[in-house]
Amino acid sequence: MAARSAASGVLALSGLSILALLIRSEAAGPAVPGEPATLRPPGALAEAGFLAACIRCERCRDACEAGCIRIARPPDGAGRGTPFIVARERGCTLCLECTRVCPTGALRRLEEVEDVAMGVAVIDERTCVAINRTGVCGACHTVCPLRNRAITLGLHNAPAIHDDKCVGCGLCEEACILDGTKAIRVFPRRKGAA
Amino acid sequence: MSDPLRTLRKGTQGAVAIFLVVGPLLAWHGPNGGSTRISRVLSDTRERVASVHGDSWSAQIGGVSLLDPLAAAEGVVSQKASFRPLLLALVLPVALTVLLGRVFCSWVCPAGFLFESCDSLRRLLAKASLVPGRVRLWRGHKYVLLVAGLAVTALAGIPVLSHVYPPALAAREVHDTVFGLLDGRYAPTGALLFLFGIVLFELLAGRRAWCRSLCPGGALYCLLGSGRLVRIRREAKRCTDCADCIVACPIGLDPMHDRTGVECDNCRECVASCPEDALSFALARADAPAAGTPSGQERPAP
Amino acid sequence: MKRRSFMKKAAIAAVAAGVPTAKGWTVPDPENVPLESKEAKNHVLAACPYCGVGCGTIIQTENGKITNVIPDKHHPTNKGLQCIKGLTSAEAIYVNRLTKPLIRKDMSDPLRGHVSATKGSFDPSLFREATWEEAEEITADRVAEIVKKSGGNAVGLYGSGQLTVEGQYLENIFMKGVLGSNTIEANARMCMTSAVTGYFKSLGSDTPPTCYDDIELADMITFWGHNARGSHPILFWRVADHKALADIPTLVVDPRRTGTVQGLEEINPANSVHFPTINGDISIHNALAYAILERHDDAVAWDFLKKYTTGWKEYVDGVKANYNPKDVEDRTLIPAEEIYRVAEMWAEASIKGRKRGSGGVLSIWGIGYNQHLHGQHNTMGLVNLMALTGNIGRPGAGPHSQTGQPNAMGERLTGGLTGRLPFNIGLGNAEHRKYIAECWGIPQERLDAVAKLQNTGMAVGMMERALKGEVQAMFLIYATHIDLPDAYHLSRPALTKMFTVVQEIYKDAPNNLYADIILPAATWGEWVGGTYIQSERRLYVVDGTANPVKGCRPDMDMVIDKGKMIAKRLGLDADRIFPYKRMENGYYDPEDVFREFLKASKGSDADLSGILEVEKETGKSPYDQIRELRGIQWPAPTSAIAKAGGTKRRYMAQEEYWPDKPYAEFRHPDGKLHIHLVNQDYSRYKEITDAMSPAGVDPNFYIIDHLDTLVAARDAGLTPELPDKDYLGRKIGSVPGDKYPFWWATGVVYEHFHTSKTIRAGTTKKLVPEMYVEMHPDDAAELGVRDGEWVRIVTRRGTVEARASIGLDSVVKPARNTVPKGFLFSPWNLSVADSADPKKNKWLANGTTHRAFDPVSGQADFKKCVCRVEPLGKG
Repeated sequence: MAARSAASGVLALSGLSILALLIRSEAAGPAVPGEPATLRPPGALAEAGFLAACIRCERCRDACEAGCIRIARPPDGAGRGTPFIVARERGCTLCLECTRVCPTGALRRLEEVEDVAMGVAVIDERTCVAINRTGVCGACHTVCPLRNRAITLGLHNAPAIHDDKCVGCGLCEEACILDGTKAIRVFPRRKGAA
Repeated sequence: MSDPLRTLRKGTQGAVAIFLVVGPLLAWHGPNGGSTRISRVLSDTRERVASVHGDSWSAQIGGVSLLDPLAAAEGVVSQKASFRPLLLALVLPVALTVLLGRVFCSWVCPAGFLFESCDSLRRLLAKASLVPGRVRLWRGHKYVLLVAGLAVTALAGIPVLSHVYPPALAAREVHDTVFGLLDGRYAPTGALLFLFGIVLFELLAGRRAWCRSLCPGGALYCLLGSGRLVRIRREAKRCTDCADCIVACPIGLDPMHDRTGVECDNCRECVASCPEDALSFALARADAPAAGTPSGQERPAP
Repeated sequence: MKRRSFMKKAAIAAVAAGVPTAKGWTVPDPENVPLESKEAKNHVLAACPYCGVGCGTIIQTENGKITNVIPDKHHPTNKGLQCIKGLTSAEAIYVNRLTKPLIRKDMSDPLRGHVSATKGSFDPSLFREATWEEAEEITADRVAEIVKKSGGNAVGLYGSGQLTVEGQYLENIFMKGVLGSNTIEANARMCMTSAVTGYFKSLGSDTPPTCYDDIELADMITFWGHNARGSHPILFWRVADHKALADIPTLVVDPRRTGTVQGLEEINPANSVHFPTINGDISIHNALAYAILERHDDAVAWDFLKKYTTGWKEYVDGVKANYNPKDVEDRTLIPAEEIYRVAEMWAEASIKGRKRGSGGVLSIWGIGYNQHLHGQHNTMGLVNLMALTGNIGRPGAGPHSQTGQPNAMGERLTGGLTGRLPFNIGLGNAEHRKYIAECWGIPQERLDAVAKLQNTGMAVGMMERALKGEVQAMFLIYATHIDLPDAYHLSRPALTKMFTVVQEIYKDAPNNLYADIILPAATWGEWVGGTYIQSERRLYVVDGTANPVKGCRPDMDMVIDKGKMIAKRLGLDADRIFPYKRMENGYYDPEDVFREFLKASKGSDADLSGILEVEKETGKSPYDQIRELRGIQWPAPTSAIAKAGGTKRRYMAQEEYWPDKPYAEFRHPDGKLHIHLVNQDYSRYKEITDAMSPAGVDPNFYIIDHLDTLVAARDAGLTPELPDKDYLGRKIGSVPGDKYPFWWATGVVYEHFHTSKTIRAGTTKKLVPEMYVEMHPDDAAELGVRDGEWVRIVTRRGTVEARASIGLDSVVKPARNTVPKGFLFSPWNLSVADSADPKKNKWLANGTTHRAFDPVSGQADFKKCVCRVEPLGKG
């Protein structure tokens, strides 16, 4: 019995370690190739803590009102079974339902929209039509849940981001009227993240 | 052989399977996300059913959060911290297991349901002599796997067992498939292959071969349910040694004679199969020895 | 649909170079970015299909299909800018299109008293597909029969400011010349006609005297009931840029604190004033005049008044007698000291402008200001004030009306309205009738007969006459019936009774619900070409791919075809009236029609014959001249003026020399500006509004039978209805069912243009997808309505459902404006965004509105209806 346990133990440990390495290496890359990092749902712990705490149960996706949360499946990066958001396809409406259903605290419970810190929006001043004066747009401001705080408009509806107020929901990136790469993009940023 | 509790068990399994498909259908956000009228209707529906969502791995029923103890164990071990809602979500599953034993496996587990559905197929294959002889695996492997899995999880800081635990895998595949088809993003993954592998293993290595010998979650439920209150009572006087119960037992026990303490999942197949009513459910702290018959010795299944 | 692919290119370049920093991507060489890909093939010059600002647009095409729309850097109006509607206008072209003529199986036949039982539905089973020939034959047969039996005036037409000048010109020939009908209306009626008739009354002709370049010269700019930032964004940003540069004072008169108000305040709050009045415009003009007369005599242009105006004495006396700002606070709702403050700014700017010879006060208004029972008086009151302070007939000053449709000005100039002939002359003018009959190739007696026909009540009246059975057939062309008020009781039952022919591009369009014949039309950008005239009188070519969706035909071609067919049936010389031949590609050449139009303009105050002279001299075609100059502003009576781009500003000899100019300083025969004092008097408010209240409620009440009431209401500066203020603030349960405590206004939202295209374009539809109602937080609290909840707006005539949008932080997009207490505002743009099907359609704004209209301009009052609110909960 001891021999059987030992043999099976060695086999199990090595097999599972390989699996762990595989999962880790998958999770090392961003969900979308070319993006600097993976945008996680609101309340997500710092990446290492998040990957540890998430039990890959997908309840956040079920709860997501906006339908923005996707679950990583290879070849997506971000770690299979974990939730992520591609802002340019669909941003988060900050209903915070996902933070309420997360059973492990991988998404911390949040009550106030202002407490979210998923990321921060960054404007490409060269391609933004309002800033480079090829148009009057304002779409990013219209959709911002913290409009007039996180985004304000200047002349010609030129948007300006207020980093301290922007929570990184990504609705602006989704709304940006540019095709392909948007003039406003959300970069992941989490409290306590390295 | 109609046994109401057995029917209820089958019904529960079926309901869980149906919910695996319907759940994501209801949870889907509609083609345009949260802001359109279509999805508003959908989200209304969802709100009504929001009290029931998730799967066997992690679910919400009537505002009560529920977790597979293995999920909780992984979560705690990997983040090396506990979380109050996580502990609360464990109360009911653990309590039920402690009282009723490893009933998750027989009543809820979608992989178990899948395996049971394969039984008739296996019988067909057996008739055609396509199934090799039963592979007898040591039941202890699963405990080793559990311990090893938690150890690796702790060391790597990343849950690993959910990737080899069939009910979690099956539920996630169904979920992802439904969402993927609705979103138009579906792509098969290696997990599907793994599931097929396990089904093949089930077909070739014998009934519930995975559950008996390899399932880490099963192992955890076995341990939690070892002191269960609901057990099989055997009345040796009535036993005619017809061995029907031995044939019936999916996890390969001899219900009349074995010490079923740790392994039995109270599936009630043996009770339903016994023509003499020698077996029944009863409240007891421990298995009564099966009087009159030599015990402690497993008999080979026919 | 690929939008803005040039942007994409630029963006890709940026990413390649890009390192994200706190401020964005660092870019090595901004000059190298191909922001305007000049090398890209297939660029088509056009004007934006949306509002009347008329931004220059370049349509990019690939294989004959429109792929993208980019702003024209070299166009003097927008200088490379366009708003979100224009930028995304390519998205709405190839969606939901009709491609086959459709005939309703059960057609209404008014001559035989048959009313179709299936009107109100566009179910495919109710229609059969037909060939173009069959659909046109049926149309021609039926219309000719109605003309023969019931007279030409029994056929109506509702046209559009989206049609090209060429199309509009021909529609007018078709209606007045061929059919002999005076029942021709257009959506311009609901848009700008108050400015038209106001201009006629004051200046003698329908001419905005100003141009956009006056913005940059002005010393003060005022917006009247005009949320320019939403409705005419490029115009607004030109104003804002000028304010940011020159720090000029601005005034916005608007019940709501709109984006316009906020945008100007953000630039300099100290000289940005907002007058949140409700219906008090006329009193405000007069109170400002009083304050200027009282305190700033040096700002009053006495010399100008004496020399170039009539009626100024009565005006000055009337104002002095009745409009002390303190005494009219009940109407202006503005404290007297605020009036004096603005009067001081106004006086200062007027003096500055007069001394410099350029600059002064520029007053801009839009559709909302016109949509009043006293819309014409709004224009006149403002012109009075401008004349008093000498802010007219000088660069940088003047009254400027801003149209809603891209070619509403074309509709006005081509005379496609009741009682009008082309070139700003009425049907009553016998000499002009003779001339036009010659130009049109029709017997003069025909036009003389039309001049005797009445279309009382204009657009609204046309529908009421249909309800009475006087109008029996209707053409709906590029205009939707839901822009008329009281849809459930007026236009819809009227269209049900009539034989209705619809030229439409979309399947899910409201007009199709009531159509007997549906003809699939080509839309902006895919026709052969044509011209638009925007608000500063600038004619501009709107070229297209000449490649409509298969099965669709340009509206202009449809007029010619049906005109020829019906003319033949009526025994007229069809080939003389429509002497146009198809080109090789199968379409008529709009430039042929345009030349006819130019020829006919000779001798009028909108003389454009200079363009033809230039063609003779240089061989350059009219369209080429216009393309090259990026537009020509009418009038262009000589080749020299045409070569210089036409006439920028009008009146007081601002026009270049022009030998046979038909007027002196102003267009009236006496050469003067006519000042008519307009008044606002609330003493008989309840009595008069009560007299109009059966409209839309009592099916036997026709407002055209009560024109005297409308005149009385207009002369007193009233609204169609009066809210039951006593019930404001009461819980909904305690408000009796016949009480309506709130003001109810409908208007536009920045993302959408009217009701059709932008709600089908992905980007704009997504930005503002839902009907909303702007509500004051106190009202919401009293009603127990929380932000984002659904409410039902109930008027005497109908209901709409909308999400309550409370304050600037509302969860309901776009939340840009705030409203005063007791005042509700919804956009009408989303009227059919939920569904065109009447059974499912809950957002139809004009199901609620009152049909009362300005008795002269015919424009309905969409801004001052009354309603109550029923909470619907979360919904």
